[in-house]
Amino acid sequence: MNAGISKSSILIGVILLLISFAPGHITSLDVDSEDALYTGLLVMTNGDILVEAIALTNNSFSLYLLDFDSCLRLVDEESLTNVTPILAIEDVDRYVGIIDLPTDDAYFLVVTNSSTIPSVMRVQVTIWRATPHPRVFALGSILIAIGVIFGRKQILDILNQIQRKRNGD
Amino acid sequence: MGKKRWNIRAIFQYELDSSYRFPTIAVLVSVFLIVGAFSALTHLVWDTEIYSGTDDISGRVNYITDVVLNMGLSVLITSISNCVLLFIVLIPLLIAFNFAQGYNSGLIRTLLTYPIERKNIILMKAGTVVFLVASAASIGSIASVLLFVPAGTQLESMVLVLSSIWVLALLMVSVSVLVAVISKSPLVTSFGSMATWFLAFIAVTHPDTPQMLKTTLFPPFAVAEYTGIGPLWVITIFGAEITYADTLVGMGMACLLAIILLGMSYIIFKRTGV
Repeated sequence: MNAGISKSSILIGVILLLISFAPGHITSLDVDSEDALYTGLLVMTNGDILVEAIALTNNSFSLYLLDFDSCLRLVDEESLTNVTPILAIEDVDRYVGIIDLPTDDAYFLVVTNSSTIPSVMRVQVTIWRATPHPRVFALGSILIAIGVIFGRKQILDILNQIQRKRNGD
Repeated sequence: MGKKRWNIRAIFQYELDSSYRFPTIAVLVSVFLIVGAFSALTHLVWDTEIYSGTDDISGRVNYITDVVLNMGLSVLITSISNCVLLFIVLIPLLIAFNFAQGYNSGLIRTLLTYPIERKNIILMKAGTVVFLVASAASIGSIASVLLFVPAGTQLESMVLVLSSIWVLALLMVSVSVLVAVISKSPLVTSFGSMATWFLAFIAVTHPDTPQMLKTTLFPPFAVAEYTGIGPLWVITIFGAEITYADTLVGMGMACLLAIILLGMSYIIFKRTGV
């Protein structure tokens, strides 16, 4: 393979590896409700998400992660009864953690009031993409590997030159 | 015919080897990958908050479905729109240092000693920049969708968006080539072309500018307006609604304008000394 293509592959691979660690803030939500049954965020991302949810009042809240079909059912029926969440974190006043999304798809992160008595609830939810971004990281690693494999002759030449210089030739 | 085709390929290869040595192309692709990633990671076109307690349930279900189906296209349009801003700086610089610089360094004179027609020199210089810049922007934008967004996108709209960036690259390059053959100076070419497109950008954002001029000068913005899911700063450029026909006419006019400008560049290049 052409030495230029091999070096280009390594360079683009390194750039992709750096991009894979770029922080990605998806969205924030300030839940401030008394009567709302649910407040939620549509999340579309590849890979996992980092969620930080903090109650700003004394109430506790519940977090549910729904797939796209369950999201449509929830919106259609306005009830969580017939909905099967992928993940349920109930009755907490603070949650910080990485949520593993099973597949690359659209998801709905729902926040509800844990208390059955209607009361003012304020929750601040922030979602980031978890780093490294898996596809970017994988592509970057593959490009570097291709560049190194096909450019090994040049790398060996460079190493030999260094060796010769050390030996004083 | 075979000889002519080989000739063009050989000229293109020569241009790549002489003017775009490592790491130029790799850096170009990397820059557009960074722009694509930035566009995807900061993409905030849709309002994704959904609350209970609405009367229009079917409208809300349709909205959610629209968001999911169009997220990929929306990221692609955002990335392409950001690439347009980069084009305004990048294309004049590339033409200035790979073509206008050749007048001072003697490269153009050397090229004229080879059995290459002047027409082919212009096409080689312009074509290489169009190909490299537009394909790098396309790769960066497609990567932003494939690497960061889970859902697919409509192929027809995607082709329309990507075609618009190729047409814009062609138009911008033809303007820069014309400035280069007139001025024969890299400094005038880079700053003159940048100023021209900066003024064009300001003119396009003005509400009184005719819509035909807007769609011709910046076809990607017209496509963003037509789909209605581009970034807000692009959507607000056009006052009226843009149809599919408007986008096609805009791209056609831009191509025609680019061909006329390249023709003028060839005539000037042929009649002036090097």
